[in-house]
Amino acid sequence: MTGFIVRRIALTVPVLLGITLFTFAFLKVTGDPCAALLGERYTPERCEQIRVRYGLDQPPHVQYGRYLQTTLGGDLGRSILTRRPVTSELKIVFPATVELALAAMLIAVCAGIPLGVIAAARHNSAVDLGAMVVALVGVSMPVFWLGLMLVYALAFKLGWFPTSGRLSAGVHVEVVTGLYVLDSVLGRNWDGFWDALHHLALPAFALSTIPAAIVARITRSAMLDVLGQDYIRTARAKGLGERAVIARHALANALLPVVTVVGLQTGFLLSGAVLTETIFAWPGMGRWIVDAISSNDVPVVQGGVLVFATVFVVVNLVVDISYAWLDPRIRFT
Amino acid sequence: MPHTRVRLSRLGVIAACLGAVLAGCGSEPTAAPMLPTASSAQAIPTGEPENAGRLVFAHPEDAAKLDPADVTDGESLLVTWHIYEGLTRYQAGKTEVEPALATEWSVSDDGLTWTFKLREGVKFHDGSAFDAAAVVWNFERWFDPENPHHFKDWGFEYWTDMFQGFKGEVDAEGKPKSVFAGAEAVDAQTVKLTLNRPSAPLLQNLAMGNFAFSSPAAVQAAGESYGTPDGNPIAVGTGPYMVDEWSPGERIVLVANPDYWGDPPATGELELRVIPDGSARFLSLSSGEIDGMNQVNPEDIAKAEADSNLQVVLEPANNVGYLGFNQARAPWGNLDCRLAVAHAIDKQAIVDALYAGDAVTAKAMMPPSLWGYDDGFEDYPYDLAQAQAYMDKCLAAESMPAEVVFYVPPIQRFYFPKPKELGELIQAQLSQIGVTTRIESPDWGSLYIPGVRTGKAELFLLGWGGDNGDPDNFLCKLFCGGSADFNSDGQFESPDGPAPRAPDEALDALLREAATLNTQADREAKYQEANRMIHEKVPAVPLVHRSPPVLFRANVKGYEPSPIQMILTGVSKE
Repeated sequence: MTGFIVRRIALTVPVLLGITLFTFAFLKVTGDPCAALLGERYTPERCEQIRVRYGLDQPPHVQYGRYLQTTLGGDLGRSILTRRPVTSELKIVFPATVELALAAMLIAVCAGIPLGVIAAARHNSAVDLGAMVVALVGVSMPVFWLGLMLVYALAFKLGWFPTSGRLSAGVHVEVVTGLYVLDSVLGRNWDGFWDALHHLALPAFALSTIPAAIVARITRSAMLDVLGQDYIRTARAKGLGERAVIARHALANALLPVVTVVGLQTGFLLSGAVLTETIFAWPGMGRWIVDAISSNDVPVVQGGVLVFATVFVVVNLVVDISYAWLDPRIRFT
Repeated sequence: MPHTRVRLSRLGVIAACLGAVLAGCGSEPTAAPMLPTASSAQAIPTGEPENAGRLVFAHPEDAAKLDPADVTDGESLLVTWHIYEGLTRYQAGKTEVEPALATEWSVSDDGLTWTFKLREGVKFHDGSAFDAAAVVWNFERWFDPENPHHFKDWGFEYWTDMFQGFKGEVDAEGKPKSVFAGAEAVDAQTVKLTLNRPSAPLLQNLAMGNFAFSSPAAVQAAGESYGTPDGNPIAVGTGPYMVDEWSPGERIVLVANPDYWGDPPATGELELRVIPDGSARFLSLSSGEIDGMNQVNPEDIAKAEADSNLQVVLEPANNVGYLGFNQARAPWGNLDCRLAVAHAIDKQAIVDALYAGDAVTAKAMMPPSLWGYDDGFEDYPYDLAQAQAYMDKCLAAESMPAEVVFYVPPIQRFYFPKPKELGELIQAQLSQIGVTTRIESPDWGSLYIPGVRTGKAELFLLGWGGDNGDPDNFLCKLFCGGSADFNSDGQFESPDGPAPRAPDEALDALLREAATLNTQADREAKYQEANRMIHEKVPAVPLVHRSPPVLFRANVKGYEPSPIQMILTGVSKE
């Protein structure tokens, strides 16, 4: 097991190097930031000044070498647009995304697994059909549209929720982790806690619908596989109640593919959800990196993609390791 | 604040579930370091949020930074207008300037030395004195790349735009590029600015938000973090508001400066909130969660006009959107061909179809809100028969390509809210006189304007928004020798581009002369003449002047629309 983990971690190094090289080459092809920075004020002379200022006039291998060197030292450079260190911006946007992604995944798991289990237990019944229709709607509904509808109905019409942001004006939370709900609990700031939760609810729900639907469908199909196994028939023959069969024998064995999907979906969500973040004015990774791409803010794009890649690699690693924990038959040597 | 605990109780189980689990996540290590934000540095646990005395204005993007000398985006300036002040300022609702931190000034006969008397008793927000030394310190910081506070990698882009160069930079003839030569403190309340050559727009330039003064002590203390959320302090000027909080990507909160020398702000706290999506921003305004917003979706303007809880304010237009000709590409060097297009474009149809009552047709390359605008000539009327007659003359002398490359912006610009539709409409209008165009929309961020300036486009849609309220900033920007948009000036920068044409010397000389005259009356006459000359030569077809709409709740009062700045200092709620 330890050997496996060490091997997997070692493998991440070439993966991340490849990502940095790909990102660098891609940004070289798509142009440099001066035209985006200057807009209507663009002239070739001004553009050249900017290239020189940011070292973009250097040969590509020199630029890449310098980028790798500073990155290995923990310095992701400074945003061309805001002049702030990329790491400083990450400290703001990454926790915001983590909070939103975890909340969305929590809702997805809380809703998706029971839905899938119920559909499988009542296979081919109206309940199964209904659950799968709900899942289909969930996976096909555009997040952008759903977000706007939620804002319109629950925030604008009913006034139950705020329309945007992470905290109301005038509410402050002492930042420890950057996850405001958690930070307000740590600081015993209950007004802050309710306010942060209040702001989190709608975007988390909007973001959760697609992963919830995927989790529900995977759970259902995994459960159907397991429920057809001999040991389930044996359990029923021994007189175990259906609930116990499903909860104790079937569900535990059906979770393996669900864990994979939950892991990968969490990876996607942690990469930021640009549409949800835009609708709800959530200052997360998605909006941050899309803004950076549209303005060719090279250091931010490079830093952001590196963080995305690292998140995916780590999530995949965690998923693989969790296999061993969930299924004792799997042995890593 | 519309959200209460009673309403929160409806969240019930979801709230408890989320809270419990997220709290449970707290013991897990997180994937990235999470340090305090700018807001946490001043974190104050409070009770229910209070909106009394607070005006909340939403805009689509956060400020890039709050050091005005180094910003170019309107979102940053929206904030810095309230924090900082310069020697002069724009009159409310106008582009003419008036005294601000300078109370009076004089200029030498040769136009090279300007002497400013400073307002007495003014202090920066950090308590340090605003005096001649502070003014000189700021000018030296902006002008001298070797100055320790002219930070490496910072652009000071508008200094380059308005003063044309930094200390030590020389042109091909060895003359200093910069208009500015130096600043000197004559005494504590008197500053002398020396120029390398006369610059009539100087007072207009000094009123720009970019040339407002930061506290030297604050810049020295914060170093390269000055103007960013990491800065300590973040931003210190002499203006009516001070920075209280900056939650990046969410909001900036300003509070009234108790020691402000002028009229105190009408509202104690001003929150500039970031809501990126236009529809969500409008819903927030409709629900009363915010008090005002800019960057309105065109389809929301009519909704706002129909809503008695809202009011629509149109800022006077300070821009022009135009159809440009690349005169180095046949047949556009021929005046008859350009006149044919000028008569074939139905500007009123464009305004009616693509704007929501927030634009007027343009006949000049500068807006009517600026002095120097000439209303004494008629626009080329939309007249297909006349257009065809000009086109026949054009084709008798020139050959028309089978397809004319027509650049259309791929993204919205403030003067073109629907560029794709605009391009298609013009394409259809030009087809009526036999001009077939091929629309191309290369990436705005890297290819569009370079494509125009290197001659890849034959026709193109582009525009310009004024910076300083001076006609020079429109006409010289677009038509003086250094500008290559219309390739009528022999300045083509691309070695593989088409052969350059002879410069338009008469127009160039007229505009350069206008920029050196000292009286506005003399300058006004020159710009009116230049407008007529541009109208006759048709280097471009001016299409629209757009008045950006701003929305407020009906109970908001005191906003003074302006072509050049957005200042909320006098705004309050009833």
